[in-house]
Formats: sequence, C-alpha cells, structure tokens
Amino acid sequence: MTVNSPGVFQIREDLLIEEVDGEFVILDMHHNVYFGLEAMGKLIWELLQQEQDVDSIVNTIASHYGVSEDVVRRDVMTFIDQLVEQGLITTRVNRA
Amino acid sequence: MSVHHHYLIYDEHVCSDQPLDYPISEAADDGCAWRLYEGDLSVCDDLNSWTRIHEEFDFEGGPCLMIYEDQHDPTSSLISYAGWRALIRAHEVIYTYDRTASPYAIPFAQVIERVIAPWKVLSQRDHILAVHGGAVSMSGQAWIFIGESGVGKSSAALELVHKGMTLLSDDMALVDVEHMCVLPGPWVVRMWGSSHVDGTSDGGAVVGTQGQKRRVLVARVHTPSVQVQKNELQAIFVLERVHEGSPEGKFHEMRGAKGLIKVLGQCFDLSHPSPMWSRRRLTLARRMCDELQGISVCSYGESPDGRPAHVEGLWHQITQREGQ
Repeated sequence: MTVNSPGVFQIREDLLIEEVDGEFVILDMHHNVYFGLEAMGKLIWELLQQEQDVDSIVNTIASHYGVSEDVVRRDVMTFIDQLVEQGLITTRVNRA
Repeated sequence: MSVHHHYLIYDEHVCSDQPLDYPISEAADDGCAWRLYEGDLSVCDDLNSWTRIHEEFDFEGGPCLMIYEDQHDPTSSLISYAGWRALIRAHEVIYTYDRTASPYAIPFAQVIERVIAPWKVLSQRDHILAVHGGAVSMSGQAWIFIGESGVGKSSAALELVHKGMTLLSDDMALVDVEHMCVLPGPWVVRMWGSSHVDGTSDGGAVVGTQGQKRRVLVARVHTPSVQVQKNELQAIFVLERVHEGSPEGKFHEMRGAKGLIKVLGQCFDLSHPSPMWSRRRLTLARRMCDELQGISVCSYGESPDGRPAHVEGLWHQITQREGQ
C-alpha cells in the first residue's frame, strides 16, 4: 500500500512502546514482533500520535532539520508506507 | 524414589520430594517452593483438554520434549520427556516414569535439573527470561551467546568449556533478571557442520548424529541435591557471521533500541504467548540490557580450517572483562 492521501493516521491501540536512549522500541503484541524507531522515526511517530497529516509532518520535520520539504516528503512517505505495511498504523478519513 | 531430590536456586529451596524444614506454605506463597512426588497421572492420559505448546526432538529419533498447557488452567502444564511425565501445578510436581516408553534412560536428577525445574521456574516465576542462546560460567560469572541458528553458538560454548568454563545451557539460557543471574537450562550441545569435536570435556559421550549435526552430552556431577549456584550475568555476545570477515572476530558494543531489539528477537515466547507476557518480556529484556549497559556484537568470518577462531577473541573479551 502506498500512502498518497493527505489524511491522518490512526495508531493501533494495542502496541506497547518503550523509549530507550531517545529511540522507540515498539512491541506488536498481537504478532509478537518488535520494531525499532531511531530519532527521526520517533519524531514522525510522535507527530502521528498528535494526529498530524503528512503535509504537517513534512513541514515540521523540514523546519526541525533545516532540509527542503521535497527531500523530507519522500522519506516521510516511505516511512509511513512501512508503518502501514507492518500494520502499525491505518489510514483514516481525510479531514474535512 | 529412595533418594532425596532437592532443587535449590542459590540458597533457596524451590522443590523437594522430602518434607522441608520450614513451612512450605509460607515459601509457596510467592511461588518459591513446591513439592515433588511420584503419583498417578492417568488423569492426564486424555490430552483433549491440553494444548501442546512445545515439541522438540533432541535429535532425529531421540528423546522428545513435549509441553502441554491446561486449557482451563494456564498455571498447570504437563511435560513429557524420555519416558518421564510430570504434571506441574502451582505448588507441586507429580511425576511418573515408564521405562518402556523410551529407549533413552535419562536419570531423574537430570530431568529435574534440566527440564522440569527450569520449566517450572520459567512458567511460574515472573522475573525469568528465556533467551535463545548458549551460556557458560566461570567463577560465579556467566556469559550468554545469542545469534541466528547455525551461527556458532554451540561451537563457541563448547570451545569455552574446553578452556575450563562450565556449560549452563546450549539452546535456552534462563536469566533471573531480578538477580541478574543465569540458571542452567537444557544441557545438550548440538554441533553443526564438520565439527572437529569428537568427545566432551568431562566424560560425556557422543550419543547420536543427525546428518552433519552431532549431539554431545556434557557430563555433570549429579548429586541427590541439585543446587543452582549464583552465576552473575556479565555480558551478552551477539554472534554474527559476516562474508569475508576476520575469523578472529571484531567486537563492538550495541546499545539502546538496537541492542534491545536484538535481545528481544532471541527471547523464547513458548511460555509467554499472551500480551501480558509479551509486556513482561519487554520489561525484563529492557532491564537486563540496562543493567549490562548494552550488548557486545562479535562479527566474524569463516576460518580457513573451519575451526571457530573467533572463540579466542571471545575468550580474550571475557578474561579482559573479568580482570577489570
């Protein structure tokens, strides 16, 4: 699945998240699989938790790291695609 | 059974087939003591109410360890191994032996020490983590080797046994995270590939082969009373075989989420399939990694003669740390 909508995303509620030295370890208790998120992934995850959409996330990341939005957008989309593919988040209806 | 069988973890009784000299009910309140006795297990003949959660042959045609969980009472489990059967309940273990059921005569003390007691401890104590890996000890200190199957955990463990260390487990290392100690697990050493090992360090015997896989028993001293000494966990080594890597191995530390995920990926979940246990496993693994301040990765390449040359590097790391 490829994320190409400006919608917001819903994080699965049954995930267990542990912060370790500024990174996240996410436990998918249903499938008994662990995922690690480094600093950038952790930041995107936190923005997803705040129900920010892709445009907003890209804007925040670009400002935070001082990188152009075009570059950031590609990485953010790839990352979110992976989260969707792993079933950690689901797409939700677009904001009105 | 005329011999007293006691199983102690450190100085604490956890099971006995004779009356203990203190009220078992007090000790049993926190699950630290249980009674062991021979009894009738015909009630368990009908396995319809049991769910099989583990089945593994030591080698093809060899003894098979099977573990069942009571569908109605998850605190009860049933173990079957080499003619022995044991019903494990909260405060007791009832066992039977049918010598005609298996051609492998494994002494009861061994079955207690390396099958029943570890399982009982693992399934009913909430601070034990079962790690897929080999463990060795020396002078009250312990080291664990984890890594993908076939990476050389058994080879490393056996080489270190040849250097005078004691094998705590081959495949499953039980870590008491509360005390940061390693308990003995299954005692079998399995060897892959063209092993140069043709015996054991202290009187065991090669008992079978499976293709190129050789199974070696490392003999231990068996006494009526089995006491698990404190072997404090010093380090976890992740073994990684890399293409064109140095046979002697290169070492680096892995901390944070990466280290934790490496460890979690090598934790057994056979006794801990529920979300509650997943949560506990994460908590225990986190605590263990924090205590160790990370794990050590040993990346090594194939040596020309096939011998596990990286073990010298491991030995150096271990003795260097011990000397600090």
